[in-house]
Amino acid sequence: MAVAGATTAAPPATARPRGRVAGAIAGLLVLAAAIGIYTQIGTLGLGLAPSVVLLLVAVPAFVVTGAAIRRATRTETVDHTGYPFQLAYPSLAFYCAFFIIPLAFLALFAVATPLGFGGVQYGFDLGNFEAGLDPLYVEVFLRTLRTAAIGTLLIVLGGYPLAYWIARYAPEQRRGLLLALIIVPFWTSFLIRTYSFLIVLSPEFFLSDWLQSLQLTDAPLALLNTTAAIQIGLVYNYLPLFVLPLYATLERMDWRLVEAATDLGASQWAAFRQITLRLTAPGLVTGTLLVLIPMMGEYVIPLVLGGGRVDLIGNVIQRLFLEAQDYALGSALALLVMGALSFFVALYLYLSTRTEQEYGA
Amino acid sequence: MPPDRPDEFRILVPESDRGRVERVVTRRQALLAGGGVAAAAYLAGCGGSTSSSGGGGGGGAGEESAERPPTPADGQVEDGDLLMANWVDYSDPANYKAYKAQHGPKVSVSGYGSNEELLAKLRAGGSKFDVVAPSGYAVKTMADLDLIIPLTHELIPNLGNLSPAFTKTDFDPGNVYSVAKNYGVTSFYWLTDTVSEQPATIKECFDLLKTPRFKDLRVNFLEGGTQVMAMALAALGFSINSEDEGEIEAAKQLLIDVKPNVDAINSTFIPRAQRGEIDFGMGWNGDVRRAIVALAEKDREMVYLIPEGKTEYWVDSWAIPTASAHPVAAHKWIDFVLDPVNAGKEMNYHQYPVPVQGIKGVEEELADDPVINVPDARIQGYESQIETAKGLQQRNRAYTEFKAA
Repeated sequence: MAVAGATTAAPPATARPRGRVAGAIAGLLVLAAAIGIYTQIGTLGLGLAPSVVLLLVAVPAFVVTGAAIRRATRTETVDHTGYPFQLAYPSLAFYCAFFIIPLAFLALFAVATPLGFGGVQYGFDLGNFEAGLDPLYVEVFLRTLRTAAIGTLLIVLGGYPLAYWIARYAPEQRRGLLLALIIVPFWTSFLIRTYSFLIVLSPEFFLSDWLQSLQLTDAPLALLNTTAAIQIGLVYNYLPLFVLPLYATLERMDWRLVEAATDLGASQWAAFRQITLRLTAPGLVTGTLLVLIPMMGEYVIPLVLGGGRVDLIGNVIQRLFLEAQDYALGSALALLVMGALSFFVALYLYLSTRTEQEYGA
Repeated sequence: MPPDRPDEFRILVPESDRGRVERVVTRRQALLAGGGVAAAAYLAGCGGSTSSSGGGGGGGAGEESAERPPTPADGQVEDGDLLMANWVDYSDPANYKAYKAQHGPKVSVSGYGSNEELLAKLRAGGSKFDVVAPSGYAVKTMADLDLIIPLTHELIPNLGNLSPAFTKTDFDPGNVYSVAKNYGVTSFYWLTDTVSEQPATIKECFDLLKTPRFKDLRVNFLEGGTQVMAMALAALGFSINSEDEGEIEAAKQLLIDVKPNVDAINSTFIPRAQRGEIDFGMGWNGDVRRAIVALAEKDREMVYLIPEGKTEYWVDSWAIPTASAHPVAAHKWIDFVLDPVNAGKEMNYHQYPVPVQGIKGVEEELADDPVINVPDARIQGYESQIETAKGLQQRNRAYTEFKAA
């Protein structure tokens, strides 16, 4: 779905160059005004609440301005489908209250000067970002990225065949049951599922005995409090989030295309690579993002299964807020992580949609 | 009764406790449960039951530094519940009932897991607690930030029962803002069937931790930069409040050196310690005593080290937040727990020494237990934490490096 959006968002082929230049200039002006407000908001001497309000009022103002400019520089009008926009208000309000407003706080704190004990002096201080780019935090971020990437890869390797099998080979009347079996663990609280692995991975549990009597390991299981345990916890907890969207695309798959390919001489592998994989790419992309992004923010699993020995970036940010009470650095680090993550996700979407476009999926 | 305290005092984190209650209540656990919302709702629930008194009471306490008149000495106990924020399982529920019977208000308790968390809650406003129990250094920080009010001593006639040593603390001489609740020390404990060595100082504990043999033992550290760094600094013979870059660096290096043998860094250690799943760990004496008692029933022996030389010791104190809507009721609570009988019940419950003279009804084994009865001579060598913004930052950074190692 995300892919479809990305591919259709190409600019209209008939845009006139003059309108485009005017639009670009206007856009830059708006951007400059936005930057001006953001950098100066702290020096206006407003309290936190008025600053946040100003910042929030500024955002829709820019959106409206942008829309007005676009309308003025474009001849053809957008065809309205008559969708009752009011239906989106509740979710917009929710989104605004619990995402946009906190984000505005974050943006203000990130450029404030920390005074200690949670106090900040509002202003425009990029020192927090400098501190956030310290090799120590970069290292933790890269470790988080690596852990999440390995976790995602393992989920893809394990989840794809599973979804494939259910969609193609499982008896039709059993599919509902099989899907239910994947979903049912989700009815249990995330925390309980994570804590249960404390027992499963403990050397006293029968799993450890079995592995030893099967001679797969020669000592009691020593997985708890290691990065391997964190990895196992991540894969276990996020696997269903990948399998479900992927199953949705695999289920719609027209298997006759694969049969046609093999009839025409393609090997099984070539048919899978050139037909199935490409047609299921949207589900694959959605699924991987759905697991990768929450994994990047994960901080419970490292605490519980990692024994608190190893931090992921979420743990570091949490501690900056609750323990060190350095809201400024914590906010800056949070924004940096969001930025870096957006970059990697954009890169991933670009690479995955590019190949898809080539084949006209 | 320890005489003059050399310095400030510091925490207690009795998160240790019996599974469920704690899991619901402590903030950290609540967050673990993805239940930040639940915790907030819990607090909001508490706040909601307060009838806002007058016009000026509301708003963020943190930004409101307006002078608040002292609580009148002849004030009447206000209507509504007494909202207490406390470390989990840190006051006897039987005392809540007795207090209600005596003074009227129902005690409604909400838990926190660190002084920093309490400070953040008070700064954020909204939750209008009437009585809180921060550690010494946090009392000073909160007083400096106008988050707690000066006490009206006329409302606390039992203040005379407080041990003299606790009336002239460094963090709050003269009990202007706070009254000592109980005190304890931080050190190491171990199971004698797996650890036969007998370290006598914090330094010897760290030396032991470096030996390859400890790789096979289950070692648990407490959480948090200030806590872990305090112990490492004490091991090296530095002040636990050092802000010297070189000393901080050396302490951090010591922690990194022992890290390969540390299995878990988790302040919720009592349940595991009670089951005999920790061979060697860092912990608070009153909490560890619970594990010692539980293990003794299974004929296993756990030892708690009251070290020679340096370590950390702390005093937790009652204080009344500026945002309190029931200051008279809060004073009455402080007075209530200073009563020798009620103080005895408190001590039996949380198992930390309560500095009330003539304290009554303390279980004999508890009163005589060397684990909590630290000799004055030892205490004089110990140090309490002092909190500064710079120190917090240094410690958090060193701790993050320790975790990244």
